Amino acid sequence: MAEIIVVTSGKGGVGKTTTSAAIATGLALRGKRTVVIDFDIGLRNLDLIMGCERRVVYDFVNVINGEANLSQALIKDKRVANLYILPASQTRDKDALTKEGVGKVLDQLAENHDYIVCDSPAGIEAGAMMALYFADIAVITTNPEVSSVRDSDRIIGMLQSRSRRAELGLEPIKEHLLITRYVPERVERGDMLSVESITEILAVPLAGVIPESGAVLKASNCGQPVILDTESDAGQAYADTVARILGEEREFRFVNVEKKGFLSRIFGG
Amino acid sequence: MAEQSIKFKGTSFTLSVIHIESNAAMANLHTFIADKVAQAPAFFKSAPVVVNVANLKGDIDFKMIQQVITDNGMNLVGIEGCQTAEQKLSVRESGISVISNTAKNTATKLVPSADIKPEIQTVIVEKSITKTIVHKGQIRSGQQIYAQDASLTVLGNISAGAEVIADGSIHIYGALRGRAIAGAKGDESAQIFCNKLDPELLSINGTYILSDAVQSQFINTQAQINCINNKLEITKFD
Repeated sequence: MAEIIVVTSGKGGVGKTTTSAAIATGLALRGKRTVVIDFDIGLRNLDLIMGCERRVVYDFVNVINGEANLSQALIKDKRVANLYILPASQTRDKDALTKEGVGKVLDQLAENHDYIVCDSPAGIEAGAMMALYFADIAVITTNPEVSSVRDSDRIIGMLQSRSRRAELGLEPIKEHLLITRYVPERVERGDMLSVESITEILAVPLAGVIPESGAVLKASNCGQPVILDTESDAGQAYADTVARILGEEREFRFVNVEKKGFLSRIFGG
Repeated sequence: MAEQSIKFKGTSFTLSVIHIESNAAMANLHTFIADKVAQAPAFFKSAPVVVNVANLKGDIDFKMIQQVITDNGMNLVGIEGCQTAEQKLSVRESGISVISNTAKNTATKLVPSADIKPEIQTVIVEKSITKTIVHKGQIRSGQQIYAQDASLTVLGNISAGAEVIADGSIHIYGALRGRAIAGAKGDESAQIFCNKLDPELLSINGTYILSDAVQSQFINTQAQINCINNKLEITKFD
């Protein structure tokens, strides 16, 4: 039976799709059979980040409406084994998703996958609710600034009250906090929220801190999940995050200002 | 003129009310009350009581009621639940106060007349809020909790953008970053307590202040908020 992970945030532009792509790829790299679904119907992006935009024939909505079967719509990743992408429809809107339809597709996917990663759209409307409804695990993506933290707080409330697990009175969704675009230098200067203040406000266990990194934009533009860039700080931080979601203990990196050594001070490294 | 040393103030008390359910019960009123007093003499000794006559009809011997109460060692504060203007007049003529319970809408309205002297009316609240609703866990932005006719205890933080409301007091074992509204149906004695004060809004009995009115020395401290003379007062407690 597969575990369903929703990557959510409330606020837009904080890195949900980047995170979905990285976590799904990371899980597949660890040998887990993984599928990542784009729930952002009408604003399809995941296919670009995953670099499979030219291979989309059928999409999620086609499968729900019975116009295609799952094996026709799933796109197999060319770089990593065990990884599939189910793209969103670009021509429909979020009302195309029904609870029954989504539930049926997820049930089918659960038969032969270990993890189903749901890339939620921004907001708290129907599309976002649909993405989180069936979740077992939530990755709450937050930027270190007040509006993002407040929106995450709101979405955590939704996870705890509007999800399938909440409605049926089952064990609650397992929550993981992921802080993205973190700049320790700015935190030290006092113009960015620290990891400590964010975790204190949200009271959710921390699964990862992704530093602000040029590698993310570069990876997005060439359609390569940043976790595959193992040289980059962001890629390594995502690999740590995946390990923590799988229950491993990892020390947090990239959260403190690095002391510049003698040589790098001279050469500006 | 010298400084005022005598003041009139309205205050609420909880009193025992003796309900007489029928005219027939009047006959053995003395025996019945004597039996009750015998069960707990210390409790009833010099106790102030109110007698409710809402279920009695016609002429009532209020002097007799007062005598029975006094004979049993209690003090009659007043008569509640008079149905007619005649009954009220009769109560006053017996030298007893008429008490109107503000919680109920009485059918008859007091018509001021020249021969009835104005008197100070005491408002007596029979019912006080004793119920408590306990919420475990953080209250998130956008969530709202209302403890109707009860006090509210929260074991967790109140996030910015969240709202807790109670008709009684509010106790927060955590940080208050959202809005807290106590005494929502009107209760000046309601209070707010929290482990870490950083609120968006505080309100008791309809009097409210916004975050910028909270003095900086109280921010992020353990605090208690009272409503005194329609003004919110914050104090630290350790």
